[in-house]
Amino acid sequence: MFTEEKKNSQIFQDSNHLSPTSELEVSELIKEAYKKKFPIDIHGSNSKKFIGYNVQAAKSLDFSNLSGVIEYLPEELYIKVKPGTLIKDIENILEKNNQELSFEPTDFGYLKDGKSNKGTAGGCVSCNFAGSRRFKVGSVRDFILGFRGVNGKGDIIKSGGTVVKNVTGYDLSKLVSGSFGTLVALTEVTLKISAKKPSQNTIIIYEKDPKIISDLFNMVLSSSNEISGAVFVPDEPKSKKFAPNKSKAFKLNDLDQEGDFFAFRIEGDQNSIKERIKDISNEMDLKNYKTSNLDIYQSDLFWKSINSLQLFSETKNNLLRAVVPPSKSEKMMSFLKNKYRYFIDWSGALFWIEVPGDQNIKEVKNTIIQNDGYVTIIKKSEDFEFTEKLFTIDDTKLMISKKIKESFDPRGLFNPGKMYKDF
Amino acid sequence: MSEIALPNVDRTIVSKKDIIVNNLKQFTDKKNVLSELDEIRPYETDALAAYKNLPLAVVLPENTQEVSEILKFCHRENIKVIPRGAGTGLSGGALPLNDAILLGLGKFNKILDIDFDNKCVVTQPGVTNLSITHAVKHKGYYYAPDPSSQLACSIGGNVAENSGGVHSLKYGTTTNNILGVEMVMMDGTICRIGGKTLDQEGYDLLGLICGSEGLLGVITEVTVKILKNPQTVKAALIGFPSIEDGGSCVTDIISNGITPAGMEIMDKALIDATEKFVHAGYPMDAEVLMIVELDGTKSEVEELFKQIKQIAEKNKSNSFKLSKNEKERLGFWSGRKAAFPACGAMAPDYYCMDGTIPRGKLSEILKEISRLSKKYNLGVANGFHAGDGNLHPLILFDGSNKEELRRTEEFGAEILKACVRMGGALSGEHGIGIEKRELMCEAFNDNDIQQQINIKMSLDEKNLLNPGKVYPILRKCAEEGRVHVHRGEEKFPDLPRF
Amino acid sequence: MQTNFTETQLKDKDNQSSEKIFKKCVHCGMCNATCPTYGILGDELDGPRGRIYLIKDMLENNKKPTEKVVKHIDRCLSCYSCMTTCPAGVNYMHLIDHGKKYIEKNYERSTFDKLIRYFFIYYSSEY
Ligand SMILES: Cc1cc2nc3c(=O)[nH]c(=O)nc-3n(C[C@H](O)[C@H](O)[C@H](O)COP(=O)(O)OP(=O)(O)OC[C@H]3O[C@@H](n4cnc5c(N)ncnc54)[C@H](O)[C@@H]3O)c2cc1C
Ligand SMILES: Cc1cc2nc3c(=O)[nH]c(=O)nc-3n(C[C@H](O)[C@H](O)[C@H](O)COP(=O)(O)OP(=O)(O)OC[C@H]3O[C@@H](n4cnc5c(N)ncnc54)[C@H](O)[C@@H]3O)c2cc1C
Ligand code: SF4
Ligand code: SF4
Repeated sequence: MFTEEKKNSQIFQDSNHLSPTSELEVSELIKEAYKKKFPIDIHGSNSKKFIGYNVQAAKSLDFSNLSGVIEYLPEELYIKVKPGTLIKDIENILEKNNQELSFEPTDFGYLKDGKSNKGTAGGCVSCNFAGSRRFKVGSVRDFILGFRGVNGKGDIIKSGGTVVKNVTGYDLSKLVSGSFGTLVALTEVTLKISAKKPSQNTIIIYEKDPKIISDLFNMVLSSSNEISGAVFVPDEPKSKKFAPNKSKAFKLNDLDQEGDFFAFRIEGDQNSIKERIKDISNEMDLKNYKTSNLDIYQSDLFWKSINSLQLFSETKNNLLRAVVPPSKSEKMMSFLKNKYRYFIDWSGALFWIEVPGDQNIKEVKNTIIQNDGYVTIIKKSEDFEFTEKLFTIDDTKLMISKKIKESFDPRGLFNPGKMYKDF
Repeated sequence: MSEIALPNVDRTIVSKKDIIVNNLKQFTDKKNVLSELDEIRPYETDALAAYKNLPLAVVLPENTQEVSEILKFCHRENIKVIPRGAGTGLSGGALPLNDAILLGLGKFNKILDIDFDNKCVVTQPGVTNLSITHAVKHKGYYYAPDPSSQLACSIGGNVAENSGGVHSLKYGTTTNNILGVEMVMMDGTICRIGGKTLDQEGYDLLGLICGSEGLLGVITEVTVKILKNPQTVKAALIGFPSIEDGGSCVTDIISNGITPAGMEIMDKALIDATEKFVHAGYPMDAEVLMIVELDGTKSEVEELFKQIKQIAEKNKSNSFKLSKNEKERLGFWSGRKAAFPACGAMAPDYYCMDGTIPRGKLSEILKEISRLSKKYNLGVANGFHAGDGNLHPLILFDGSNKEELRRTEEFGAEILKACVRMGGALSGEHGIGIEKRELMCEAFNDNDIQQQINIKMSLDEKNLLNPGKVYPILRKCAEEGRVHVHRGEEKFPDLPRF
Repeated sequence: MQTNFTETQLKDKDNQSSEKIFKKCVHCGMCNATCPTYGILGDELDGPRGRIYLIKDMLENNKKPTEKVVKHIDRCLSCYSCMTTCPAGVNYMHLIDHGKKYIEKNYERSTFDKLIRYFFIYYSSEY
């Protein structure tokens, strides 16, 4: 134990790129950093590195070598993995048992270089970006049953467990999701998994009127038909500022490339899908619209494209992620018109907006805030000047967050400045 | 009165009672400050009536501003504050301290905004869980988490305890069903977390507050998500000849990819007791009875019940009854819901436990419980939220027999330890409070607990808000295991008794 | 709930039956949910669980009722909505009657109070 400790201390001294292979090693490296007050950049596969501010750190702690499934119990509906495990690998393992991560982790790979890259489990948890089923099944944080990790002093801590119902102390699993690696260096996460639905269909409605679209979103939310995804994809603005992507991103036999469309997904067994579509056709008066129906294969590809943001593939512009109360979607659409490239997910509650040029960000941000929403600047254009904050937060919450940060990481070593300038 | 270690009483605070009471009267209507012994005594305990302790005074503020002023004052003067909702908690979370103000939220009983467009309701924390559903049901909506106490428990208390219910299997507990809160910190700062949007930016403070048992802030407003009623709801009663068969059927249903809306299991003792009490028509030849409820479209529900029937038969079920109509479905549940009073008819007292285990360990824990039942020579009836592995064993005993009391407490602690050993948790929905505080060391080590305490201290640096709850105060975890045995001589002179 | 009556107190018939009822109450608070006075005032002293506690305290300790206790007991409408809610079958009616009787015996109402009570009794018997 003692020699092991010494060895790690030596490794810490010698190298700026640390790639631990065990929890104990993580703990010892962080203990060293704590002693020496060295800030650390924590990362997995770096698939989402561009999100947030650049971290200025002496050492970088790479978790890609701390990977692998620790325990997978399909019948208990959980999988326990090390943080560097690739989401792709987890999904492949689950697939064999007809299971899935039903929160549909957002794939940021296309944004960066036009290829899929869902990153690691640790990164996925730390960012808390859930896909299209969010409004129905919950966010990433709702699927974290427990974790183990190392805090800023090098202490190994755990919270939660493997069971769904658990009120023993604060629910730190929630706190850690969406903390961008600023609270805990995760060494183990337990994810709740779900059975994959046997089949799915997606109905496309060709429509562009903001009022009608917003009504359709509302119908989705008020329907008892368990719709598990609803998006609106408007046509791309005819401007040189946006490299056309839409027809490539949604290249499907039964999807008409021209014009704006609304789409919703139904999952279940064949019979209940049929039953639901019939019911929804009445609810939404579908006969009055031009529609098409994507079968299971096309439907699958369609939602993959949505959840990997292929509309913005390799964009050079800024990309904003805005969450608003769904009733505000109409106002947002009327503002965005065809000035910006965007699409709406979460049945009217999530907007992905591509904004060329720094000067426009302010106007978009203000509109979002006027509509009671919040916004994150996900991707920055090359000439981004950092006049706008990347994350929005009010002063009281900032004060609370700062205190919580200090309780985990008193010396502010983990990803300093990643989320907020202050810490 | 039961012996339980509580934080040291600050005598200077107690000696200043009159001044403090007079000061409190500046912040809210005079009649909202109760200080005479007669008036504060009824507030000395919650639904875990085994523990009693008088507060210094009781304050019943009427709005957030008043709460803020009161907390600011208490923070300045180092006065402890215990928040209280409807007082239906089963872990003693709202137990007062002699040098603390009990802050009752009973007057926060209005629903503020029903927003069908955004599928949410904004409400004050004292509003009961069920009245939210009542307020939206005319349009076919409901609020999903349904603790058995939903008629009486407050939504603020639900947030504090992260309460769940029968339908949490499919729809989650409180934390999965709220969108925002307004909260007052111990220093009086008013803070809004979340709102009508999904998720929130930055740290998930909402997730932290949910289940924090009133230790981090006083909740003064809650925004909850409402859901549309499902199209079809049906329930089935399935009987099994043995615990093993019932237990493995639960696992098989789940691993076949079926997520029932609710899945409960009752053992023979509870079947007999409830059948006598409400005549729900339960099969009397079953050792174990399962109630499964499904919701969705008509064809889906029918199809899944077909599958469940097959799975049950494979697991040697000896009866299967599907509800034909709404009345019959409610009838199926009536027995389960009357579990507590029914047990009251079997023994003078009962003690309700609340642990969780991985589903696959159901029959193992049931066997362990029956072994312990013999060891301690005490009867026990078992009701489970089987789908999510949350068990509520009801230990039957006679409270007037001190020796039996002691055995009851040890029995209870052993069940919870077994839960943790099997990979489960100490509490699924009732919280730790003071009741299971010393058992925290079974599940966590010093580091884990210290991290939690650090969070607490970062938001309430003087440890004034609901101190003495959740975290062990008797000993360090290093000495775990023996702790509860030393706790005191008279443990449960009067436990809940339905 | 645990009770603390002395043997002498238990010689009294009313005390005897009330003690049995107190013991049945598990202090769960379900009854508060349907009590109209608790619903309006939000003070547990104005709900059945609190009233039961007040009455128990008064009876066990042979206390002289204070003005405040009397106020909370008086506010009970005797609508017994609480009894239909109570899962333990607590006979609240007996307790509140016992409490009210005890108050009438041991509490001197102010002249004004008496006047109002007299007026109400007179008024309601007229119509
Ligand atoms: C018969 C019965 C059945 C029950 N069944 C279930 C069940 O099925 N599922 C379940 O989960 N629970 C159940 N419970 C337990 C209990 O009802 C829940 O824990 C409930 O959420 C407590 O709410 P309350 O308003 O009564 O809170 P209280 O008991 O008043 O307080 C509980 C805790 O919350 C804190 N608190 C209360 N309000 C606030 C606030 N506004 N701000 C900050 N902190 C606050 C208190 O300090 C305390 O720590 C049952 C209880 C009974 C008596
Ligand atoms: C908690 C509470 C709150 C209350 N709040 C209010 C309030 O805000 N405003 C208010 O005005 N009152 C209020 N009341 C008083 C009460 O609700 C009203 O007096 C109400 O009108 C009584 O209606 P009831 O149906 O209960 O009549 P009952 O009490 O059954 O009868 C009242 C009288 O009407 C007679 N009667 C009843 N039905 C008939 C009939 N079909 N034909 C002939 N005579 C009949 C009865 O013989 C009796 O004399 C309240 C009472 C309670 C307990
Ligand atoms: S509902 Fe019944 S048992 Fe519960 S507190 Fe009220 S009277 Fe007592
Ligand atoms: S009888 Fe009294 S205590 Fe009971 S519900 Fe009516 S007013 Fe409330």
